[in-house]
Amino acid sequence: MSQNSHQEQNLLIPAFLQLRGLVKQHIDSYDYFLTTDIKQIVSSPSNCCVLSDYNPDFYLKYKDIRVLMPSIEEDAVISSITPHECRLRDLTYAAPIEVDIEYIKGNKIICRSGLEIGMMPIMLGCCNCVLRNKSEEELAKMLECPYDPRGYFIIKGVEKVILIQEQASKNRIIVEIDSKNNVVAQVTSSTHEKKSRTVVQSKGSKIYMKHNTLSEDIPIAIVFKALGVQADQEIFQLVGTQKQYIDALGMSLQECSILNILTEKQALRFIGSKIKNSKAAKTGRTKIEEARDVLATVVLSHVPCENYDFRAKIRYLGIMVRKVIDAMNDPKKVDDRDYYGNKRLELAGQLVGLLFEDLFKRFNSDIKKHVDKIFSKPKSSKGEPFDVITAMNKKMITEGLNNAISTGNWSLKRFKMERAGVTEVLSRLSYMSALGMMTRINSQFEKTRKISGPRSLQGSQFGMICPSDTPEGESCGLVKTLALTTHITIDQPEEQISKLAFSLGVEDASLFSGDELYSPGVFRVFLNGQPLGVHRDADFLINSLREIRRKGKISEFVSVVKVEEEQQIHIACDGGRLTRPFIIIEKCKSKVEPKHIKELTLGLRNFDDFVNEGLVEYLDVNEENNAVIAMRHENISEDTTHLEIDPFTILGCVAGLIPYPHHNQSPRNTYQCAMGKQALGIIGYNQFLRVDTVLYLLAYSQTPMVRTKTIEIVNYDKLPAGHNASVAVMSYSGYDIEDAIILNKASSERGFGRSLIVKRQNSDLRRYNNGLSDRLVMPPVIHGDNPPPSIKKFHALDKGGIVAVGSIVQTGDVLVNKETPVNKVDDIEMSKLTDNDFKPSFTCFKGPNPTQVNRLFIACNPEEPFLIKTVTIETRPPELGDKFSSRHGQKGVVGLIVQQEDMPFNEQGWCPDMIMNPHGFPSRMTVGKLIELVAGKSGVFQGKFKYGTAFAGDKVIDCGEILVKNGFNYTGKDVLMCGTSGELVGAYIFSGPLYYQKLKHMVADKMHARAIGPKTALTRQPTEGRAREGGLRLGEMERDCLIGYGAASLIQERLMYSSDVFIASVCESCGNLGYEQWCQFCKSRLNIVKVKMPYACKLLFQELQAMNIRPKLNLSSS
Amino acid sequence: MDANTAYLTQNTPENVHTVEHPLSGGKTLEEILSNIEMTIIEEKEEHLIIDLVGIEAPIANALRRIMLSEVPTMAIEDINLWQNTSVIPDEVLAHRIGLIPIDADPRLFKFKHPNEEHSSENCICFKLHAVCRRLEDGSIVGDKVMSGDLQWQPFPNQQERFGHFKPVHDDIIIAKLGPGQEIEAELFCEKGIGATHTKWSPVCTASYRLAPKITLKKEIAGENAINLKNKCPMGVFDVKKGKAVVKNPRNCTSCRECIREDDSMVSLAKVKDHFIFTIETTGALSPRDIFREAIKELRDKAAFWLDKINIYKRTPKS
Amino acid sequence: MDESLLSRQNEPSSYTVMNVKPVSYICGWCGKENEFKSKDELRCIGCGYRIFYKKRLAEGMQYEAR
Repeated sequence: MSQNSHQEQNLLIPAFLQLRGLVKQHIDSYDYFLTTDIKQIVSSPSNCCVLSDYNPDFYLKYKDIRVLMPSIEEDAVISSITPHECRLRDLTYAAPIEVDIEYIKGNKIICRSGLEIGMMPIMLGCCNCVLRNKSEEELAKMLECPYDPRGYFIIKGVEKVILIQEQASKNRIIVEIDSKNNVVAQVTSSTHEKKSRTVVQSKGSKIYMKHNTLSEDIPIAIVFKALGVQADQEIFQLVGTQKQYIDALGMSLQECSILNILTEKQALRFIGSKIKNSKAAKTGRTKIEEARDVLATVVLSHVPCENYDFRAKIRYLGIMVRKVIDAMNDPKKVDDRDYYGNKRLELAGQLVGLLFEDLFKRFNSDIKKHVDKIFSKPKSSKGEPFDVITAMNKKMITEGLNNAISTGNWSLKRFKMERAGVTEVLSRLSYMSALGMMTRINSQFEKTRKISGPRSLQGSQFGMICPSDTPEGESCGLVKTLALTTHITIDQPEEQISKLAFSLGVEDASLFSGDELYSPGVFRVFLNGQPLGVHRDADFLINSLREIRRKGKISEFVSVVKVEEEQQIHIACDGGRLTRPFIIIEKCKSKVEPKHIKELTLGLRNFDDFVNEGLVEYLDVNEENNAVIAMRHENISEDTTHLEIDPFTILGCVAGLIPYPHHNQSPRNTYQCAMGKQALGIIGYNQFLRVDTVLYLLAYSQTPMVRTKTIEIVNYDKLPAGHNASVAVMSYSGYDIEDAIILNKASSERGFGRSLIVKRQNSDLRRYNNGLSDRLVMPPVIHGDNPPPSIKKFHALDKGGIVAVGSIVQTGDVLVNKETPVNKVDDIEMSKLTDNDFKPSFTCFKGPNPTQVNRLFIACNPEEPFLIKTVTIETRPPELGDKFSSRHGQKGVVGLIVQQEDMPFNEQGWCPDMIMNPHGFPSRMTVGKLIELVAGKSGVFQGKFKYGTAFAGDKVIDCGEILVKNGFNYTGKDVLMCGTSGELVGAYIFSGPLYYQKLKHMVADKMHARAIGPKTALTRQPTEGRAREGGLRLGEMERDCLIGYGAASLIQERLMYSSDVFIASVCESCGNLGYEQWCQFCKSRLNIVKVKMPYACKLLFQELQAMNIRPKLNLSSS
Repeated sequence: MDANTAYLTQNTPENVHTVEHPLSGGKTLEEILSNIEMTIIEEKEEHLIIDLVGIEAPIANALRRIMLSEVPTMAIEDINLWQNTSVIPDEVLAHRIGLIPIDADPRLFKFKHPNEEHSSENCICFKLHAVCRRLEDGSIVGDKVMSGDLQWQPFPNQQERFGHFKPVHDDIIIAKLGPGQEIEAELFCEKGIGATHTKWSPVCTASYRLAPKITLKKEIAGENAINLKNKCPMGVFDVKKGKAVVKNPRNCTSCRECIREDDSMVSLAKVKDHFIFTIETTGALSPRDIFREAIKELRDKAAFWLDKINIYKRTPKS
Repeated sequence: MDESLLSRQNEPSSYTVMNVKPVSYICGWCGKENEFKSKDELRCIGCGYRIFYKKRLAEGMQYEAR
């Protein structure tokens, strides 16, 4: 294969992402929920019917459930809605959930299909979304941006993302060392109904089982006996008959005989006596029965157990004990919790699925309660027979789902689970911040714990999770981002896989005794962590399964892993595993050949074809351990099984923006990942149609000169956030120290860094319960040129009392002149009210600068009859103190804006847009930035974009060559003339284009000063914070300085006269505070004097008095 | 080392500063004036290249600075926007319109004081009315608003006095419209200078470079000569009779490729009193006029300060 | 709320509420002009759409081209 075609293989990545989009995980999981999971939930035996305790004839049975297309019902008209309409009107993008039911009414069986039971929020882009498979033109008609990632929800007009949640795998045995240095094997069992944790633990030389429902640790031998394994020999066989197992188990078995528990019954009775909150007395069952029930349904609940057939559970417990003993003898066998093969990621579909099931159960139990109430009363013979549909509360499911998504509080009653912060408002600060949020992974670990394990990079995250994109500070390493090609699996049915495994020669575990299971040379086969059976020829099984998978007969996301040292084969088809695609290598040859790539470029095949034809396959983290993966073509050796598609895919989409990241010091890339999300730019093609509270945009955003492949893949080149600034790296004027930058005034006047701030302000005309509603009022007429501010602020209003579109408003100007009725309780007719029955409640404009009212629209939704949204746009050229940053974690503020003629210039007449101080380089070691400049400069002269893709990209030496050809120095350093003196600058200046981002932190939003202003009501001290026009605090440390200096009067002035001075009346005779020259204690006004004190001091005295402490003031004159 | 020469070495330019004080050098004003030479190298409609020899950097730089920021032109300053339903917000549109160069001789106009009214003396008025429509056959007309769409609205007797005014270029895209969108505005040009806002700058850029002085330290012959010739991307060197010669020193762009190697036999230098000016006009004034205006402005400034100094000298010291 | 009192003194006779003089709005879907009184249902007569844009100010706005 030629070198060229090797490079072409990375065309697969755009193909991969074109097919999937960046948020396919979310959409796939939600699709699965809407099409499959929701049906399984409703048809599961515990949910599918509602019975009555009082009427044995009654039943309600769900036969089918489906979710329709999004729509809204208004005035009994059902109309379909688009996402953008929801954003504008503060609606929820939701679709009706319809069920087909069969139930008893009177004595007839009634079938009803298409009954709505609530509204399901619809994820944008999912199979029920109107945007699915729409062309760019169709999307434009729906006012939607074609590059919007989608995958979020719209609840009451707010875009909400359900973040990917990371957690330990369910239903898998994890062996750990606990704080007391005991070996612990634990399993979190999770089924649709129950969630519980079972622990097998070594304590001293004995082994115990621990479970939430049991008050004490149970010796393991007793558990075995209770499960029906009475012979000690059998227990040994279940764990292992080698010496180390017998030695380790010996003491535990002895415990049985000490407690004199020899039979199954004795063991069950023992366990029965340890059950917490026993219900045996209530239900009249014996302890033995209760213990058996607990063992069958609660302990290891994910292991199937029908009719008290404990064999599967016994085997499972045996494996757990064996793992504990193994780990006791060999610390290497302890599992790593942070290993990504032991983690699962929960996505929107699964989370909404859990929530929906919980709500559906509650919905059914509410119906049952209602039904029971009806049937418990004596039946009245006349009238319509009871119809169960009347007992259905549609609002419950709708509101339950909406509330959870809009607050992020996931409370699942049946699991007793409360989780906060599951959802977040989609950040629309920039396109990248929205994308970054969609690929974000939230960890369930507590942020306060100071352990480094979960936070540090883990070897197994290579290629799955971006090593650079994580926040700094408390959530560092806990909040992560998916790498570019990562896919998260969804649940696959197990039956097909297990059938296949059996027909490939797996022998059912239940046919074997324990001893046979562990005989050497035999591999134990597990499916999703559960023992399936054994197989004599591991390689045959594995190879056949993989072959079948590559043929596309089973899901491409099924993983088959051989663990040689444990003699185990693990097959996994559960959801939440991290997988990514690889090119398959066979006999040192890539299966992807140039002809395939050619077909790809011609559009004759897509990425799925590569997978279906077995050229490319997905591996999960565990299966990666069985593969020998070559990074590049030249690394392929005889053992190689797979080839990376392209190494740059180890980075996520945000880190992918950085050119030459492999030349940078690693924290710089992390800083850029944080800053790339704050950069102003283009948010979407529909940015001027959107109604976000604040939107920061760049007037003339440019696509970067130096691109990366990621940039093109994620469409950052179409929705960029920054400028290709001409930068001279030199010292100038001293206003550029400490990372400050010098800006060219002419550049800013030509549009460099010019930003638009789009703000939205809402005001709604409410309707109150007594029938009254808010009203709009005509503004007062403004006479003369210089009206008082109280009237002038109405200047932008038109006759209707709403601001005129196109007018310029300043802070404090009225946008909507609204009045609210004073009386919102009593029934009065609107027409009878006079002007005095209303009080003004106008909406004022907030913002630092004069701003134009760009749009104003009115809309309504079922909750609010009259919603007024005002959108203002402010243009801001860059000013002193605005923050800029390159793509290498190098931020700086504007230190000086200079005239163009003062800027240095080169022999061609070029002069920089921006001057950056060279001291930024040595300590930061951002070599990538230097290369970006040289590459960018060469690209300018060549008329081509240059590439700084990670681990690849254009070489500096080639770029230097291009510079020389165009008459420039190969290092990128030019001869410059000083703009002020006209002489040559005494050094060669490194200059050329660098991509600079304007960050959202702008001086206009931050500057604040105050002379006098508002005070807080309680203490009469100045308010705090810029938003409340607060004072600048003279704090304790500042006070200490003044004390040290001895400036007593200054302290008094700052802390009392300029703050909360109060003239108190104090009675000299009794020492109490008086009031208005009167001492209530002495009933006299004779000895009252006036004392100046801070109001806070007076308040303290009164508060002390309120708690029966009398502060006495002893006064003396100075 | 020659005081009048700056040397470009591998790592740094040397001897860059002009240390000579006019009084210390022993040159009289007459001497300086008689040594000044000015040659027009190239003159095109849009740019001008002039050699200025015999002046010092501050004077040359002053000319450059004045051309950039103090030679007045006409540019659109006030905009009355009647209608704008395009995707471009009003203020951005106003900014874009402001940057359009206007083909009008600023010398015909007066500066407008802030309190003054727009008049034929100080203002050029344009109208812009662009509507985009979808025709019956489905085609879209008027989707691009160009600078050529500006319609001159002459003030009374402006036309008779001045002839015709229009933007320099007709093909600058101001905005793009969709069907049904409309822009209607009235634009007022004022006279101003680049120091206030770059839209009034008469030049795209005006800059100079110092004349290169390239010498060979030693005779270079044979293969080395050919290598040297090939090394220079700008064709400065040539080989004549087997020996390297400096053929086109003016082509040198200071890329320092010829002195990249340590043992280079080339000496790169700059003549510090030989300025090669390049003036690129935006189109309102010819480059020659810009240069002339800049000299006038410099002369006026000098006269102004001379006046001040004379007044100062004449006032008795208290 | 003394401002409001001011406004009433300022304009005692012609002080009116919105339902006296309805303002017309443009439907966000079909572009039809609709007039609303405050008690009206917000619904386009032409197409039933429920988002309405206010018309731009008829008089021109002044900008500095900077």
